[in-house]
Amino acid sequence: MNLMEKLEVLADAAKYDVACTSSGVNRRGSGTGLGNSVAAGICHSFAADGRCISLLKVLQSNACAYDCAYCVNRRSNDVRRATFTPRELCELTIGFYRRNYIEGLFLSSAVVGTPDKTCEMMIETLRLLREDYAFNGYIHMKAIPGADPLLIERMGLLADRMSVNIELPSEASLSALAPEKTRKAILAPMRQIEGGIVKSKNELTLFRAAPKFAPAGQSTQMIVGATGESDKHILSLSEALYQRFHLKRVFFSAYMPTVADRRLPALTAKPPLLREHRLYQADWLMRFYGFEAGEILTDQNPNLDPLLDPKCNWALNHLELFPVEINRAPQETLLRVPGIGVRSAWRIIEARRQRALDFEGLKKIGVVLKRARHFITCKGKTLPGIRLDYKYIYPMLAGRADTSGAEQLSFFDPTREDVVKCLTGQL
Amino acid sequence: MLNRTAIVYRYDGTLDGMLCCIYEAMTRREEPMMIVGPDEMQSMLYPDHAVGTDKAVARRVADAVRGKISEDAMTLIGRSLLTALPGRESYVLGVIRRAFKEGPGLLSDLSDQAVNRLTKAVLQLEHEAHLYTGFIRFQQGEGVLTAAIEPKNQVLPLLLAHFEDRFASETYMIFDKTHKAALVHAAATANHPGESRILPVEAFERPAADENELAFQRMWRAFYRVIAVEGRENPTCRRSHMPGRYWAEMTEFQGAGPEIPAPRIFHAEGLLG
Repeated sequence: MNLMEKLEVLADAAKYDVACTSSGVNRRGSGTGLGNSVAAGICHSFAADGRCISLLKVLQSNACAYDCAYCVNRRSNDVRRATFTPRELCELTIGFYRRNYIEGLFLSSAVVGTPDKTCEMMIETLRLLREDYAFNGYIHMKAIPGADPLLIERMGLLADRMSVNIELPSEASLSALAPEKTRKAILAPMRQIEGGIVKSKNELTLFRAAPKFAPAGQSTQMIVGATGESDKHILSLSEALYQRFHLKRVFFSAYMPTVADRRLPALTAKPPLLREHRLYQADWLMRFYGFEAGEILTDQNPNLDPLLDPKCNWALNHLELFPVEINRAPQETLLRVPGIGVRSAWRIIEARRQRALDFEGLKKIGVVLKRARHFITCKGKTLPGIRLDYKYIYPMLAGRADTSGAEQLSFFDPTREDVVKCLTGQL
Repeated sequence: MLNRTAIVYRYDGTLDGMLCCIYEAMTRREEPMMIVGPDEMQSMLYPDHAVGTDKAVARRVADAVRGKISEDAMTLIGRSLLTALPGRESYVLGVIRRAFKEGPGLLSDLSDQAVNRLTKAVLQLEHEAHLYTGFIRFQQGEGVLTAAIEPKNQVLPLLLAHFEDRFASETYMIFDKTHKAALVHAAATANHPGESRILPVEAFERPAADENELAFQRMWRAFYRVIAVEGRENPTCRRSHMPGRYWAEMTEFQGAGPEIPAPRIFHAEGLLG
């Protein structure tokens, strides 16, 4: 098998890994070697599915010893198998990087023989890249659950980001679908990586030259929709992972049927893309907007509303907290208004130091008035025709407002402008 | 605000030249109808006033801007001149003139028309430059890496530091087709630290790709094709992250690569539909 065929097989096998971010670490070039790293991350292309391509995402090998039900690379599945030698993978990475195709390497692997043997092969690739090829770009490594802690340690010192896939949201689902993997075996390397990052950070405050362990942090991913967990369960789990393991990201992957198995949804099932999208929106609320999982979903409503984004949903269920005065509200309150994002909240605070903002000014700043108008006042006034009423706002935000109904509403419920027109005889 | 004077300033298009225009306008107490670059035509029937570039004057204005307004104001002037905003010089003059009076706070008042226009244009410039840090594709031939871009704004000055740091040991050239300029970098060697320059270039002939280069291009196209998950196709999402105007120079869309689909009509409810 030539390099081209190997690349096709091993990229194809890796594409279900969601993470392709190259963010989290700023590293200047060495002056003589190749590459650097930019904390914001750089997308080099976008695939036909709309996902960012930032890293060369491949498996070291897809010849797996395990038999996980949801996975294309399972032992009992009839697919072509291939394995990169460390040298081949280095040549490929450097060749792509020099042409500015990629930001670095994302290396995962099926379990070849034993987890230890697999890890050793991956580490050899990394060592060659960093030492022989003087490669200074971004590297994301997937830790193999069950590998020796010493190997994980070695990996973390060569990579920028480490991740361990939590795979499925609960222990029960895991034992049903991935009999060779246990929650304990997955959490052990995660805990070890977390410890390594904390230790390395502490050492760096004492010695500038202390070795860096996974400086861009740790992430994980789980499959959504293959098993029956509720959105609330998934969000609470993510929250716990952020808090206990200080993860940078938790990725969700809508289950895409690739193998027929009676434990799984049928092959014809559509991936729950909208659900995945809503989960990411909720994830953003937790990471950047100061929300807690318990606020976004409750035991009465354990799943996200497909018609409404989670922030609108929260606001509609807490109308007693609105309207918010744009010229006075503190940042954390502004962030809770639908239609105001992290950037526009910051811009509002900057701009209102100069002069009081009105609706026109908000529009220029980039606030989405279509959503925000229901929940805000400017200089004490709402926009004409706004009512703080669940039944009135919900259909407008959900994009289900009946247009004929809306026309009728304006007839019975004239806006201020209409009243003026009536008085001046224009209507 | 002063009434506009029936005059058009002509300057050399550089930052120093612009600073001299500010000096000229403020000492002569006039608001020119337009400020135009060296090659721009002006269609109006106003007399031209050529503003000479004097380094000493420029430094005086720069010091005043830094001292009385802020360092950010200098950055705003420099970046504004790289944007494609029509009438950018007049906006800069207006904003700086008012900021001298009203103080540095004016620059963060985004509800102000002129400040808003300039800030948005600069953001667009910076965004375009950021996209190009990812979308530029080098091709190797005769030992040199070459790339071509067709940006709306003058992004080369913003790309210089990024690529210099990343590819210090490479020799490369990025050609800006829109503004007829090239960013040229000579590789660092043992006794030479490497150097980047932006030069005016009329035409651009690329060294032909060798067999090794073509092999890498084929592998990249294969990777690009394979990495997309079928069943999740989302052309709208791809186009909104990577607008079609960048595709022409990208390796993955050349040769026998994936076909470029015609743009679809955008549905506001795309996610639900």
